[in-house]
Amino acid sequence: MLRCKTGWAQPEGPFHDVVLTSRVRLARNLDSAPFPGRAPAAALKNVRDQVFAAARQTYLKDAAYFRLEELDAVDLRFLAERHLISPALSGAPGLGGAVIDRRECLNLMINEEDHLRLAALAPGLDLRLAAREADGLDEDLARSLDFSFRPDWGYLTACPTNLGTGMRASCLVHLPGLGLAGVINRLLESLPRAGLIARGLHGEGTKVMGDFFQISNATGLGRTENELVAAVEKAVEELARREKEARQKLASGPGRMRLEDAVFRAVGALTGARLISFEEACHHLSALRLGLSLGWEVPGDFGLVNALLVLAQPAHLMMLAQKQLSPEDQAVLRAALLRQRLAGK
Amino acid sequence: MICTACQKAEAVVFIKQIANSQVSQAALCAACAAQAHVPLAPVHPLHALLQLLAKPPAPRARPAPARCPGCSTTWADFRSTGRLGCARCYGHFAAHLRPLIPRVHSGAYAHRGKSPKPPPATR
Repeated sequence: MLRCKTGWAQPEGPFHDVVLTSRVRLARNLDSAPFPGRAPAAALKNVRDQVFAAARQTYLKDAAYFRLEELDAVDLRFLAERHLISPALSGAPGLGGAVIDRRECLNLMINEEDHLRLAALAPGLDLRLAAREADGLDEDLARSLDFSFRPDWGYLTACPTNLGTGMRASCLVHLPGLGLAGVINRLLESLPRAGLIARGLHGEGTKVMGDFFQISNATGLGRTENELVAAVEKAVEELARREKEARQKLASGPGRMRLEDAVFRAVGALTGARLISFEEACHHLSALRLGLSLGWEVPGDFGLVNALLVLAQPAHLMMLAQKQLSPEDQAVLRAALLRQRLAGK
Repeated sequence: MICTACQKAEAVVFIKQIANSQVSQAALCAACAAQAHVPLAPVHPLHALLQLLAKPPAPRARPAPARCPGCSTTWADFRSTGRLGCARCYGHFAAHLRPLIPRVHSGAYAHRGKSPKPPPATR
């Protein structure tokens, strides 16, 4: 898995210089058991067995199946860093499970807040593709799983805020131009009016790092799946268009020298630092990505920068080193990895 | 994370205060944050739900229903966590949930999306 490029690091798809990935997740629960927060261990195991068995009848038959209690803390964090399980499930795996396809573009997360969260991922701005994939898998699973559903409130979830379609359509976007232009907060604050919300790199409650944001629908009741996808897509396309304009304006205006200075200082740090935290690496990789999008002569390409944003995370470094690393040792290895990869080694 | 003030409910507001070079931190649930006059950003739907649930019931509000027969969850459990215990909770607490749902779904009260196909046995 470490050697594979994650689906979300592929520099493909529409607007890929601004939108890294599009993801659609569906929350589902089985009618036969209480929600995970209330279910006894036997019921949770039974849910996981049922979901595994159902998944083996689908496109996921050759996927990787994980019982999370069998994984150690580094493995769990590794899966969370690749957005394959949530940070919450990684911290408290209980009797959770994960099913991950080879391309890491379809995955199931079992027994987190809901029995099942299925997710489909597409590179760039392509929510319709992700929605089609998620819908297809949902239909296949529904052939053997009895999902909790009421005609008036839709798919029933542990938290009523996820009720209805159970859908969250989200895009991971890189908006450094709007940040530098000083308009990012105003734009993100306008999202709730369209029923949308902005989060940090790893979703709910996570920190915004390096101008990377997740834009998604806030709730999933009262609109059809297609309407939700269209609303997020429209907003992200508009943000991407404004981001591109902001980048060009910054690069051609009086602030160009300041921008060049910021980008090439970042290159200096990434190719020269001996100790670097993930937060600092994110910040500099964001600037490098901006330089690449402007066609400047900076090291690397979109694919490499996207991959480094994944590989420079703590559990990925520990996987690479095949041992536990202190934060300082992580900083040393991260700096070495960045220097080597950006030098083309 | 549990509220540092009441030690009971889930914290939804995280405060870091620096005064006279002294750093103090607190994590508060919606009810304790309201008591301390800390404004909650009404952005996250779960936060909005917990804020609604933290409000004291109106004097003429209908009495809290009994435990859910499916999973034993009480209305008080739901008020403190924002999570129901099982699918039957939706039917059991329907009268209490019905006015709440549109308030955390931007006014929407009915599902308009797809339905699951009936399982093979019932087709």
